[in-house]
Amino acid sequence: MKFNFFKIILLILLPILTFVSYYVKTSLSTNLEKARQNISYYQHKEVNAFAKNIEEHLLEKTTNTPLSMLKSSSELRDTIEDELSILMTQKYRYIFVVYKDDKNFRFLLDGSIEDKSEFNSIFLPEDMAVWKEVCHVKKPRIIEQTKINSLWKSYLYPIVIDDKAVAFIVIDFSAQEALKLTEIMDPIVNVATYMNIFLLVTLIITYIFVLLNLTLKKRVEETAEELKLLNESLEIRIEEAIKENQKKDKMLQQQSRLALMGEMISMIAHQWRQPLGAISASTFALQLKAVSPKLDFSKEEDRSVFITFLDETLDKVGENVQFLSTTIDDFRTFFQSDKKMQTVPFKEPLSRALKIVEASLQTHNIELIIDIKSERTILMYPNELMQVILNIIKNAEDVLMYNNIEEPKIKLVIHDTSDGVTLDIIDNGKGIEEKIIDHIFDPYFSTKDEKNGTGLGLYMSKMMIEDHNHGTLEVRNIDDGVCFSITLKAS
Amino acid sequence: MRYLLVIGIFYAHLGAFDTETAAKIYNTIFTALDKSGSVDVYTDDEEYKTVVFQAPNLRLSETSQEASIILQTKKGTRYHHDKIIFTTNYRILRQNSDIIGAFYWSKGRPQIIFIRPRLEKKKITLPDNFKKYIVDTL
Repeated sequence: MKFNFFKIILLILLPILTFVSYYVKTSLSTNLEKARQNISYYQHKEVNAFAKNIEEHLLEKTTNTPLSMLKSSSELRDTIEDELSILMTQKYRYIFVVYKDDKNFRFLLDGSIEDKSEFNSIFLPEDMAVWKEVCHVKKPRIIEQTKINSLWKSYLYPIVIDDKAVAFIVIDFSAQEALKLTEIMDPIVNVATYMNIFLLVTLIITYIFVLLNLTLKKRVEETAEELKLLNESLEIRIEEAIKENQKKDKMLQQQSRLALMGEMISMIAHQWRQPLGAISASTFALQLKAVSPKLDFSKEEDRSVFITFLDETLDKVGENVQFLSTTIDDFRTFFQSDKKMQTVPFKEPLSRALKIVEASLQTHNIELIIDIKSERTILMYPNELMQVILNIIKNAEDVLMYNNIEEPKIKLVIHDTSDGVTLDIIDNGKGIEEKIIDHIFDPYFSTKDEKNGTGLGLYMSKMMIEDHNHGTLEVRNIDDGVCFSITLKAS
Repeated sequence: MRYLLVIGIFYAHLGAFDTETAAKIYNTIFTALDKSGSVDVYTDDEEYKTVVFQAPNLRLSETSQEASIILQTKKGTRYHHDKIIFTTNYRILRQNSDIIGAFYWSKGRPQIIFIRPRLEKKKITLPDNFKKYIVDTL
């Protein structure tokens, strides 16, 4: 506010000052010129009166025949020259009288004492044309000696008798009075001029700055508006990007689940093979018993034996059917999304995962070592944990098979750490190459061929552990294999 | 020429004899009188010797016989008739009919005068810009 006030004052004051200084400068110049003209005017008037007096005196002394009398009388010349010399001062430097013969001007009288010119000697003025003009027009004339800074002026006064310029009174007089005034006044006029220029320049610069300031202000406002709009659109874009990302993540999760589902189906088939075989064997044994020649159904004793066998066989079939049903339930649970976090010990999702994968591990003669050192409960999404454990174990199984490890082992250790509870899943499948170990959690990164790997399993696992369950999933190579560590904060 | 005279007027008004300016003026006058390019000048005046010495196209002669132009500053001296004699004084110019011209100051004004019959006698032709300084009689 203060700044604006000063700015306004400056903008009003500067033009006024500039105008005032211009007015001062102009009036100073005008008045100086007027004063100079006045000085010259009065000086010329004075010189003219002076010349007239000399003329009158000369005519009086020569009885109106100056030329013939002065030419003939040296005594008269001397007398008048003496009189003229008295009139010569610092102001009237030279007073002399010349006449013109056919071609040249010649001295008639000379008031000078030191630089005295002889009577009748030739006088060649440097501006001869002007002198001849005075001779012709018979009017007095001031000749300015401009080539020597107008220090001196010559007053050329014709003595006219019978309409003929018979002689000329020449008075060289000082023009220093006007020059002195100029000398005094010129610096003042110059100061006023410089002041005026300075103010004018300042005014122009100030206006330019004000104009620039306004332009800049406008530009800043426009830029701020643009930024505001950009910010708003950025927020929308970020929101859209987040949504897009979430959508992508969901799709990835779905993709991962579908991939896992394929593996599940093969595992279900594997799980079902044994009970189905048992059921088949039981029904076959029942058929054989029924057609056995050893049994005579007409006898009460044999009928009782068969019924007992039938009951036992049906019980076995029932058990196996129950096993098949449990297996299906397990898988169904696996594909259900967790809606709530639950506080459970680590071993719960582990044992549920093992139920699914155990049969497959047994088939491939993979030794499973389980070491539960911690029973602490953890707040987690159990199904997601189960899915992660299953993923890692399945990967370990694939590696052990792929590398034809002689004594394949998977060790599962639950133990307490400073950060909470950790599940280490350790295999002896020779480990992961160091150059790729940092990339195994990247999406679409897989060491398996296209048929067997999507490259999403470990990426989804890390996301589920770290983003959903607020834990960590880390990997490191150990002596003969690899160790995946899932750490969750204890509740 | 005009320029030299203007300089001359200025210094005359200041009342000082400026050797450099005088050298320029005499250089112009003497090279107009003798068109050989380099002019041998004789003078017995010590002040004017310096003037001649400083003029670019003038050479100072030790004797009047060797010179083509003689610059006479004092009365009484008589020089060879066949030489071009120039003076710095109106009276000397009037008294000695062998002198063809003079350059001097009168009333603060430079005066250059050449006398036509004397120039003709010596068969000297001056450039056109010197014509205004030529007079028939003194």
